[in-house]
Amino acid sequence: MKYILSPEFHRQLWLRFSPFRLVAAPLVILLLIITTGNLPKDFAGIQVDNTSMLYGALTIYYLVVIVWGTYEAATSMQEEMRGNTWDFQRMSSITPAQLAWGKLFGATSYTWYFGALALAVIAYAYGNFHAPEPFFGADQAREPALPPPEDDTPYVLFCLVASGLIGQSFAFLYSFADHTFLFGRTGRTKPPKGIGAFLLGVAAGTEVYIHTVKIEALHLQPRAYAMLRSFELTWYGNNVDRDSFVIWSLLFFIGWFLIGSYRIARAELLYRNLPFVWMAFAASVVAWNCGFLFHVSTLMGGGARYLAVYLPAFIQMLFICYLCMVLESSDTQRYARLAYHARRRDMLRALENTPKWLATVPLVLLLFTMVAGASGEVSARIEPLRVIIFMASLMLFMIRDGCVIHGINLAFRGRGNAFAIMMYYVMVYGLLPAVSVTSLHFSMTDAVNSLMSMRPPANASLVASVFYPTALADPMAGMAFALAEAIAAAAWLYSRIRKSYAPSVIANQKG
Amino acid sequence: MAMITVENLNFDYPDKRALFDVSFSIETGSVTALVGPNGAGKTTLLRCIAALERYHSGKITIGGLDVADHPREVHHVTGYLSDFFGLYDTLTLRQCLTYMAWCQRVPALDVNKRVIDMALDTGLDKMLDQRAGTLSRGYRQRLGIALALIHDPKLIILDEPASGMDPEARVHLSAMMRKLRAAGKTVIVSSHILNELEDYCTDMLVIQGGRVAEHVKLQDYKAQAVRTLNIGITNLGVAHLEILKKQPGLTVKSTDKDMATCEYAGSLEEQQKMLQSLMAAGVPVYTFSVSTHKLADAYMDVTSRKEVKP
Repeated sequence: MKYILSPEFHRQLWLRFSPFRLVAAPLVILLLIITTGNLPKDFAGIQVDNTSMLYGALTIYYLVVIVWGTYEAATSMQEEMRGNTWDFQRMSSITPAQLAWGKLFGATSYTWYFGALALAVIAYAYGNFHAPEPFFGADQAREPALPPPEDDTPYVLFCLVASGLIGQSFAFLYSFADHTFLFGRTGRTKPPKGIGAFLLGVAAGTEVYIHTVKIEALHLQPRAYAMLRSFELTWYGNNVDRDSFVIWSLLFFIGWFLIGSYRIARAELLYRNLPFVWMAFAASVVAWNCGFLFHVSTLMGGGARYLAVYLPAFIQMLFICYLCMVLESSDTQRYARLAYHARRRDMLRALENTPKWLATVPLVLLLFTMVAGASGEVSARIEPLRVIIFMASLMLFMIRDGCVIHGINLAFRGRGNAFAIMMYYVMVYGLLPAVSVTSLHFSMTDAVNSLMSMRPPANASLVASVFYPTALADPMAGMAFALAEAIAAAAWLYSRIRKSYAPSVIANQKG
Repeated sequence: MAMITVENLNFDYPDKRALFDVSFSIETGSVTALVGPNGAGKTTLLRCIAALERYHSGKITIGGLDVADHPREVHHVTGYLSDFFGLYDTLTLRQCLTYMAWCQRVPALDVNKRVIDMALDTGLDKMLDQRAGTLSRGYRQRLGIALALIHDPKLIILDEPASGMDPEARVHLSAMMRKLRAAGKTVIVSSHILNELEDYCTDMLVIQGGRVAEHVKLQDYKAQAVRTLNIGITNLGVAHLEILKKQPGLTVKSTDKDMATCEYAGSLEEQQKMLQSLMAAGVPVYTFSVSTHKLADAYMDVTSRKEVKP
């Protein structure tokens, strides 16, 4: 608790609480109770019990904790940076955990105070809430009686709290990362406003919230509720308790979001951050996700069962690497420092300056090797070489996109680079393949044949493989295109770096 | 003993190098004026020393601590006021100072005393329960300085601290800097107001084009440098000027009515003898003063001698 109840948390309490605010939240909740408590207990012959109170409190909880709280979390870092108070905090002796978690939980403290009151009403209304038999008509009422549902109030309350924590912690992490590492931050630019972080945080929180509300809503349909509760979840081949799995998964992600904020605070306070925690995060997320595929793989025999897990794991890891490559800042100084320390064999400082995408590359290569090994054992139905070449093409196209996007960032220096990048994607993944395919192959017969057979026109996949990886085309041709484009993009990026650095700097670095 | 040593420091911005092989050292207990034209790299250099930026290469040590290896220890012994700092406008001054004291790990029992002391030192003691957002620019600057000094740091880095201050506040700042100097603190202060820096600075570090142009000990400069003398002579005429020109080390630069502005390269003893000889020769000297703007003179000397490299 000492990490949360820090000077920063205390300052946030000063900012967020006032006598008026302290009174306002209970008043709103009291108003809800009075209003919904006085509603008739049945509506058009249907007994409604505490339904209005429950859904009223749920709505308030959603608006206060998930929407408002996420907004507070997303903008708390930006307030600091826009207010030019960030240097005071960085120069102080506050620890990274106190800074990050004190700020997150302090900025959202009032919404949790408000939300806790709403949760108390939800707990009461949910505990005294049971769906009446006649709610869905006589047909359902005639069906055999179901055992009464277990009291899952603690689970529902946990999920609601987790929905707020997921949204807020993710928004905070994203806004913090946006300032420190992400897209477009080349040198001192204006701090981001946190709108993107807010929207993504609300989306994440809403996802968990909807899951919870669904459970509550299903109480109105006892049979569907019973089905949901009896649904078995298989993870790494084991049947796991659904509620426990949801709880642990939510804790897993909240934990990583909190660790992520802590790590960024460390970076901002100039502690030495080595990339191993990031690698652990990437590996654990892919491992969590692949647990669901394991069940599918057990249906296959021989080496295919491994391939069924390793190949998606490879693609997911490559996707993480790709995201980092295109989102991370094109911070040329960082690459220069990395090269400088690597040349001096100062590995700790070199690792400290390693970008996230580069730290993910060893994991990508490890999975590449595992897939290559597993594909050698599969039956003749899958050509091992084809799989390997396809994976190599994926990596080369990733290098192409990464080089082009870094080059655009360097060329535009934060002005209009987002638009240029969007145009690049539209052109390379949409317009150019479409124009090429239609101009080379379009004829009415081709179009009709293509439509009838539900297949692309002849050679269309080969043309498409010029622009993006496709498993349908000739793999060697696809890889040749990818290789050529990756080399061209790397050469262009190199020229941009040379242009963006003064010649004296390059001469100095060589020395 | 050196408090700060900087060796071959290079710092890059995305499209240019801001500092080129910067090397110097600053003695413990000195007050150094960091001066140079706009865009010379002063703020970048101060931020590197304060362990707020990661530099490309080189080495900085503060009291023996390598800044790159021990940034947090450096933060703990350093008080830094940025040129564009902000305040928590909705908090009172007492809350602002208390918060910073907590963040700087001032012992809990000393926090209130420290807050009051800093408020007294900066002349904010009557406003402690006022919100920071209501302060005028000069008082905001005072609060910024109080926040930077709340933990009694050994090294104090102030970037344009007199910016926006009224004359009274500047006098207050000068007094405070003299107090810090007397307390043995090491101070680096960047400012464009050279006349005020002169009141309390012991050293001057001139930065031009991202390079150290000169590191001057002002005491040495005062003892050795050519001084500007303003000699007022009643009914100044050609005969008087001839006598002045005969004085060893004295060069008449200009005359205006009864005032001759001269450069003098002799020692203080020689200066005294020269004045005596003028009086003995019957020159009606009614005033004799030495220009006090040594820092400005030194800066102009340096900048006129050094070429600015791109």
